[in-house]
Amino acid sequence: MNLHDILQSFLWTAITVACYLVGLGLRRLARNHVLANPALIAMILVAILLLATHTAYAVYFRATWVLTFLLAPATVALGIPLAKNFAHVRQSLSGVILGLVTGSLTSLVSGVLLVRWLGGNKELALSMLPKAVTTPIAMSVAGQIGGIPALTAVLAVLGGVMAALTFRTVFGILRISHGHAIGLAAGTAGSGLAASQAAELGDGPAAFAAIGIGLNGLLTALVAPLVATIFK
Amino acid sequence: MNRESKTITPPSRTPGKKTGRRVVSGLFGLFILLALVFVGGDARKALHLSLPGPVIGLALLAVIFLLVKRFHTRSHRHLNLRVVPVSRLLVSQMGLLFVPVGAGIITEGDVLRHEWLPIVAAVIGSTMIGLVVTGWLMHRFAPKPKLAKI
Repeated sequence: MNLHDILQSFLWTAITVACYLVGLGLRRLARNHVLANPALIAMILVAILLLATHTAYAVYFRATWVLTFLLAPATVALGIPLAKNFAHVRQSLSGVILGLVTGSLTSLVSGVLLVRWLGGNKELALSMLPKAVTTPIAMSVAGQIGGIPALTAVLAVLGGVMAALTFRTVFGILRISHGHAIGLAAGTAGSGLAASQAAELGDGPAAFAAIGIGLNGLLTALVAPLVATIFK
Repeated sequence: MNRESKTITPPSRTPGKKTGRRVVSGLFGLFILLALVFVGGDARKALHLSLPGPVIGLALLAVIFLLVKRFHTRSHRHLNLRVVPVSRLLVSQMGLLFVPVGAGIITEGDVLRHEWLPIVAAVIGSTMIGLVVTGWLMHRFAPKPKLAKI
């Protein structure tokens, strides 16, 4: 690594952090509205900067290795909220297992089928497959089964925003008022974005949302390669 | 993604503890998380698992945390002091960490231009299906708690 590389690395990492801080500021301005997602805002800003300065994406990606490197320990860190809320699973074991496994599988399969049915290619279908789980897990699963991790990251954020925006209305229409069910569904289908909205309903929904994120991450990582081979 | 920290209870902190010591505990915690990343990666190779290494690390951390909480109070206190704060930080600001990968979308312009319809339909359709199926089954088969305000 020469001086130029080190400077470039420092510069692009600092720019990425700055873009993320802009995103955090905008979210505060928008009073925590789900559409003001700091990660999505930072991705768009970085993309504009890369295009404006004619920087090759590969150069940028190599320069920001520190951030990507920390993604792996951050994924491991998701084990803490899962463990802290795990006691809740035991109270309603059958409901959690049934809801989580069925919901997760129908969401996986319907994503792939909808893409294929509407004429999307195989790479897009494989990138769509793990999009319901928390973004870092979704990306590593996508990379493993032959999807495009960058596309999966964007799809995961879009799906999370979608779930976060609609889950109250949907469960209102369906007359589902079971707080734990709402939390589990938000965490399973919308990962962190919907979970943070569900957490506003109380401690029970918050705990089940954390369980939904963690267990669906594990389940999807386990079954995604199998589903991928079936639809290949 | 950035507010996942809400679901983690804050660790008990001794008041007036020096920042330096907090940084050292944080680095020690990060070291444990990294060790689990590598253990996960090795386990994946050794056992030919299809799970990504960090996901195996996640499961191991959850199991260790639950076991230690149950059987070894002193280690549980150590985990709470060292691993939990750094985990909270990483989870709450996780959005920053996937910006570099997500910005790679600029190399996928063709896919977005040509396949926007399947993308939009599948994101909306499969998210709604997952939400409704999970919520309804849990609602139907789990004991009822107090009513949530919607």
